[in-house]
Amino acid sequence: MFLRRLLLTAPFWLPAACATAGTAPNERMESSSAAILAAENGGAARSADADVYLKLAKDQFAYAQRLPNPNDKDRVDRLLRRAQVDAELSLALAHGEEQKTAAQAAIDKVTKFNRDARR
Amino acid sequence: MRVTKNPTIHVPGAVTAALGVMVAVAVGCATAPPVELISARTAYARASAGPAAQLAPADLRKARLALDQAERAISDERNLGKGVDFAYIAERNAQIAEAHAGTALAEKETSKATQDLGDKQGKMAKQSAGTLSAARAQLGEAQRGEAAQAQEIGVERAARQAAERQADASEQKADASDEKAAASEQRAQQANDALHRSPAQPDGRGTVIVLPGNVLFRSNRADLLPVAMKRLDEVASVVLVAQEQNVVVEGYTDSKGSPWKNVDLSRRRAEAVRTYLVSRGCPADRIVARGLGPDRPVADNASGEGRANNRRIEIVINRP
Repeated sequence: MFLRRLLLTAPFWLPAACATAGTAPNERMESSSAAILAAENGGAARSADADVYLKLAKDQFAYAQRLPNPNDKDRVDRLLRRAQVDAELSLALAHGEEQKTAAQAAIDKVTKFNRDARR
Repeated sequence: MRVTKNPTIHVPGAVTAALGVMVAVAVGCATAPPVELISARTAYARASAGPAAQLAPADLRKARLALDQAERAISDERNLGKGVDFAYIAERNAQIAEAHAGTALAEKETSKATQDLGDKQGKMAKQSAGTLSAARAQLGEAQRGEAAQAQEIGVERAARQAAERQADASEQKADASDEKAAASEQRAQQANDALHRSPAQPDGRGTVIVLPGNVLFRSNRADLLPVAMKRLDEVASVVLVAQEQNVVVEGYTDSKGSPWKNVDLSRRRAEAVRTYLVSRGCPADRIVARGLGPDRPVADNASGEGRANNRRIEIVINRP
């Protein structure tokens, strides 16, 4: 009875469902791609750890594009989210490393200054 | 549709136990969480216990949400894949929270070190400025002292130069009058010579031969004139006769000019005479030369003629 009703109403809800499912991956693709680009521009390639996650992000992004079943929008979405967090982690690690280097340089300056002042 | 009741089944105890183990294993396998979920839980627990709790709470919240989604999805076997993905995302979010916290800590350290360095540099700059200011003050004082000293020296030098110029001028004047006096002295002496070829006079010291300075030397010079040698040859012959007697050659000047210069000039002149006498065969060990400058004047130094008489060489042949 329910199945019959579902099939009868399919022409009304199917396009809407497809439309909803179709826009979400595009948005996700865009934000995922933006995260990868940000990591690349943020110097992820210069840090070994950050580079690992950047590569992971790119691999998952590429995999999402050539998924065996492209109609599995949910899977595509989750793959893109994984790619996005990998890229975000990559960028966070790159920034962290830069900041740690800067902090060390500042501490070294203070140490050198103290040493020179004692002479 | 008919519903049949389940029949009652009777099984032995051993079989029941075996079945129980199997069921337990099966249940255990079914409820064992996937590795991704375990990793996510661990990552989240670690991040929550660290500085991320204070420094990256938003990232931690994201991780918590994803972890909750993962837990819910994994509890339903049909959504296992979804749950694994959420666990993956949760783990990454927890790592991002830790990375952001690390970055914030490093930023704080950088800021603190920069502030520290700035403070220390400022303090040192203040100290340096104080030292520099003190050094400048000292330098200024020293320069002022030097300037005053230089001024004093300048004044002194100018006074000395003026005095020297004045002395030179009066000396030139005196020389001119000396020359005049010398001319008249020479004339007088020539007359005296005509009367007394050997002006040897006895006194308390012995026999004294007086030779006028202008006959023997040029003005202010200590080298003998050619005419002096002739006179000294006569003296040498007298000294040679008195072989056992000591001879003292005494040089005198007038009182004009520096006494030191006069003593020096008279000493050099007496020495020149002694040297000449020795060169003529007189015994060197018995002849002594002395410069007495303006001492023992024989005439008044106020007049040119008197000064001319005072400029002389006396050769004293001591008593035996």
